[in-house]
Amino acid sequence: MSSDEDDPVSPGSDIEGWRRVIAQDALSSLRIEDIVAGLQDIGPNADRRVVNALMMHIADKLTRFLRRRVGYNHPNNGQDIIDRAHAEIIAAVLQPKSADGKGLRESFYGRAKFRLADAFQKELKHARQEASTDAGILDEAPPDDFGPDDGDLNEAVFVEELLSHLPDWRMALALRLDIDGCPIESKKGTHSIAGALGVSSKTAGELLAEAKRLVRLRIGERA
Amino acid sequence: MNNQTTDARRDEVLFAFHQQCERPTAEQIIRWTSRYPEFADDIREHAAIQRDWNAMEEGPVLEPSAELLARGRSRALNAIHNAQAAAQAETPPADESSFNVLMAASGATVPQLARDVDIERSVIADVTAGLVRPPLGQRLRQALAQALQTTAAAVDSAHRLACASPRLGHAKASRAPTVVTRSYEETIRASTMPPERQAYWLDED
Repeated sequence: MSSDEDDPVSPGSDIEGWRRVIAQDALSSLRIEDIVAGLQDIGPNADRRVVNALMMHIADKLTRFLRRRVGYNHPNNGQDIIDRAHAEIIAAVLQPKSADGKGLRESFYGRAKFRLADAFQKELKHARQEASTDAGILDEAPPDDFGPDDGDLNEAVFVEELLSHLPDWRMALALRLDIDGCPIESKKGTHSIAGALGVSSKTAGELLAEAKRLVRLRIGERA
Repeated sequence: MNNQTTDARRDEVLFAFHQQCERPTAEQIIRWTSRYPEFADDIREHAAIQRDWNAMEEGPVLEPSAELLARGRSRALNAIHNAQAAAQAETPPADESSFNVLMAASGATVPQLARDVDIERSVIADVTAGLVRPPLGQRLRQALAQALQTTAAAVDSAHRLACASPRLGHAKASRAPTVVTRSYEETIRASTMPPERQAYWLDED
């Protein structure tokens, strides 16, 4: 938000000011970082109606933010990841001394994004433990529920759908970097797909080739 | 480095990575994994996740279901409850004393306290009801501390507690009861005390 003179001013630790903002239904006009800071400053034992109103506002904003970043192509439509990240972040809102609590009042969505990435990472690890990690997985047949069928998706969404079903996150990253124009192996040894993935050029080439093969297979199925 | 320190450091590095690399390129990934080799795997996985999100931004906006929103709100209520319990456990009993507790300990009532302090009763009534916004005047803080046989800090603490849960005004047929607060100066000037007494309490004499 800009620092225009018309920008609403946060009541800070003024409980009466928060009551006015809530009565005017004007919470949405404030930066969410200021709402978190105000809540942390007045504390959980302040006027229950104020604390509840601020927390409900933050909880809803957070749920919407998380839903927009977690597709339906995860177990339980992604709701488990959202629930896990939401629980961690919303608890930190009322823990002003914690690193997350401090981070949320400085950059709410930045911190939330980082915690969500952590939740994703945990799911990836969990999935790896459950699945076979040998080359056999690359030959696994694609899931039957691949992609929506409404036929009016734009190209970007279509490509995203394809990538989201690759069995190894390194394949998706390799393919995205390849689309960026990044070489598999750089002659100078830097800025290569292999370097970014931390693998040999041979492995990077195999991952990229397999990713392309699977994507082509998907495209062929949909054609 | 113990595990807790390592976790905190990892969080710090990954958070900074997300902040500085909104769409991680191969060059950025290599630079960050070289700078923080101990977190290289984490950085790569977070980069892959971030690139997934970059792609999602171009797609349709996903809206949460009513059930998902309700679960989020339920967790928020749990967080409030847990934070209240934690605050209760952390706060020393001395800091929790409300005006009621302080007055009971010294055997004072609002009228008695007003007489001891030599100020209009309505001022004390408003202060103890949480209707006077902080800060109080220095002279009143000291006078209350003396009359209640406690410290000025304890008076401040009781005042904060009172303001956190102010007493509601009387309900009217036309609208719900409301809390009307005033500053210390407004409270003194609204009293019926003579001008010289008002000036005294406002440090204007």
